[in-house]
Amino acid sequence: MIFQLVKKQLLLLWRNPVQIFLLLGLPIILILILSFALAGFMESGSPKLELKVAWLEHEDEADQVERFINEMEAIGAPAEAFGDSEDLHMITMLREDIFQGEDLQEMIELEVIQEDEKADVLADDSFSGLIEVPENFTYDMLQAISGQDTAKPDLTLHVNQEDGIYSSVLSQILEQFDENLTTQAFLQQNDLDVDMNEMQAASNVGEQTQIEQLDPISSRDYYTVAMAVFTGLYVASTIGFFATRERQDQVFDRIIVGDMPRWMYFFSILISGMIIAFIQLLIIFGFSYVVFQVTFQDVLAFLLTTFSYAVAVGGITVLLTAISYRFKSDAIVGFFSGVVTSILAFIGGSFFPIGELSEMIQRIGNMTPNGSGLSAYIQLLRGSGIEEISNYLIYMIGFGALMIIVAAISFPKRGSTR
Amino acid sequence: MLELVDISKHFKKIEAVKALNMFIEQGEIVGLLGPNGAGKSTAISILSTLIEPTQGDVRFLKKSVIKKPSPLRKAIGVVPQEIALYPQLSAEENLLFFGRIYRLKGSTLKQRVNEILEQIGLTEKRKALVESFSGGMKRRLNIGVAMLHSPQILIMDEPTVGIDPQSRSYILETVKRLNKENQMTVVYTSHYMEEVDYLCDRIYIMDQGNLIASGTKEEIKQILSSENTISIQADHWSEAFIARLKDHESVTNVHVEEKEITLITPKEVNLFSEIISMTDKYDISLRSLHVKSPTLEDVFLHLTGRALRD
Repeated sequence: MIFQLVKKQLLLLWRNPVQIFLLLGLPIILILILSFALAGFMESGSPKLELKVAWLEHEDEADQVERFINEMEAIGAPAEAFGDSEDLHMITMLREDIFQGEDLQEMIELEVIQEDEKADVLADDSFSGLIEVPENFTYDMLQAISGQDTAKPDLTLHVNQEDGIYSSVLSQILEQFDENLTTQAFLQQNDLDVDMNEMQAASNVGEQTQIEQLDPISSRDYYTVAMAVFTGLYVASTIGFFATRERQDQVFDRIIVGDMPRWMYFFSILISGMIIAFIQLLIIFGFSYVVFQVTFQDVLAFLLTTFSYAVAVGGITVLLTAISYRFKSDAIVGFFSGVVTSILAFIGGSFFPIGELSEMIQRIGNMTPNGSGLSAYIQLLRGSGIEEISNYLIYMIGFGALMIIVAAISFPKRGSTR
Repeated sequence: MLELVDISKHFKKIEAVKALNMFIEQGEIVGLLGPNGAGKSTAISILSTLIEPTQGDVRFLKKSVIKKPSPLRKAIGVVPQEIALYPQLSAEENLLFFGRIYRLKGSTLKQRVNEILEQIGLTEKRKALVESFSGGMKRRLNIGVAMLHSPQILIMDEPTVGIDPQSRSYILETVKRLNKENQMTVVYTSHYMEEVDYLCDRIYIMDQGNLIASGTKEEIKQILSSENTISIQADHWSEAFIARLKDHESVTNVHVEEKEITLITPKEVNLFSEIISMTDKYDISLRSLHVKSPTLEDVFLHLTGRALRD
């Protein structure tokens, strides 16, 4: 018998194009509008650094290294004392391993220039800086490191002052490089046998750990979820409205006089609300999957979340109906549809991620069924599993259960509802 | 068969029904007559187990049904005052849905739906949505739904409100036919005296929650056996003329309409010559003056001092 009542509700909804539009057309239109309109707002992650740097060497480094080795050998130093001669090419290392290395190559575009191009580069605003390696730099530096009484040479950095953060980044890279060389020179001069890598590791304060980051989400992901949970609330007022009409038109009385137990009618409203909310969410997410490729990797977790939210919506549906029957007025349904839904949507983060304003607001938002549903879906989209969202699922089901209990207490047990 | 025993019903401070006693025998058509607000719908709601009385008992086949309404619910079909149908469903879909509520299934249900559609003259409109129906067609379907499960008792609460004369006549004929052919018991409420007069074997007249008269049509009209009902017709009235009639010691009731005044007077008093001289005095152009047979309307006027549709 409940099946007949539920089937009738589905048929009534199917024949009501305005309500169908409200439940399906409206969220789809809102998803389209908001995801495009607020795409920049959602996708403004970390700023992307792009530096164009010029590189000018006044003398070939290989010649300098060769000269240094020859002089060292002339004074009787064994060849193995220099280790791998590749390690002595510090400027080449700086250019190829650091500036053109894996870490910085996407950030820094390095252009090696000749001396006659220097003036043009300095006048060109597209360059964030010019690194100038003076004559004899490597030779002098090797002399200093090897303990000879030679002053440590310096690299020359010309920065584009208009580029602010870019030139600062460039300076820091060179300072770090210079610091390493200075330390190395000091260790050599004082004949200290210390491994540079070990020393750097020891100087780090605390422990370095890897932070597992969740995947970022797009505005389409966010507004698909936000609009789905927002308009899911309208299921409650839609079914509540149908039920109110049944009361006003004496159809409910007719059903009761047909010897239908009231609890059966009560549960038909609950089940109708749940089924319609579940189907509505599947259609909206199905649309976003096809059009925007909004994809939930964990389908089971997605279905469980949808079911949990449907329980919460079903609970609200039956509560609205019960109050409307208790007070013989449809005002509560109109109030919920016109006012409460918008407030819940705002607090729950359906209009914008309000939870980012503060942790307290996020907590309050998660206390609304739509906010809880939104958080669960978003976490799923960011790669979380069912364990991470279980508290949201429990909350939504608990919320629905509470609504059902209050509704069962409120629903008139006897008497006319006219 | 079905009885209301000393039924009273209070809604907060309002006493909608006061110590009402009614009985309904199998196969009869019982009318419940009264103006709007008389308590008819409350009495019908109690009779159909929708609301419980504040005091008194409802008995079906000599058993109380207030706490266990199921036996009576299975035996009755109720035609509510409102069009209790789903406008977005077709006539057939409405009948199928309510048929299932009445526990009809399969071929039995389909057969009953076809029979009802035939009886109410909507076979050709079976697939049309109810929202596209005229008021009369909706009323007929509203009655059809109540008859689906072939109830022993059909309870009709003002089933002809707001419809055209043709549909009204159709409904009255249908009720009459159901009673004759199927021996269906009918409880019929209305504030249209002529409907009750035409249909009913026995009548209960209610006013302001009280039962003020009951019996067969003849018995009720006998209430006026010692009185005359005088009808005066004219194009217009004067306030002084009406006041003079109301103050007359031999006139028990005066009911004024646009072009007719109805007086109830003792049979032994002849007021004809006096009325004619009064019309001359107040410059009223008299069109007719005659004594007429008492109607239920006159009885109500006599008992309450008001017309049914006041």
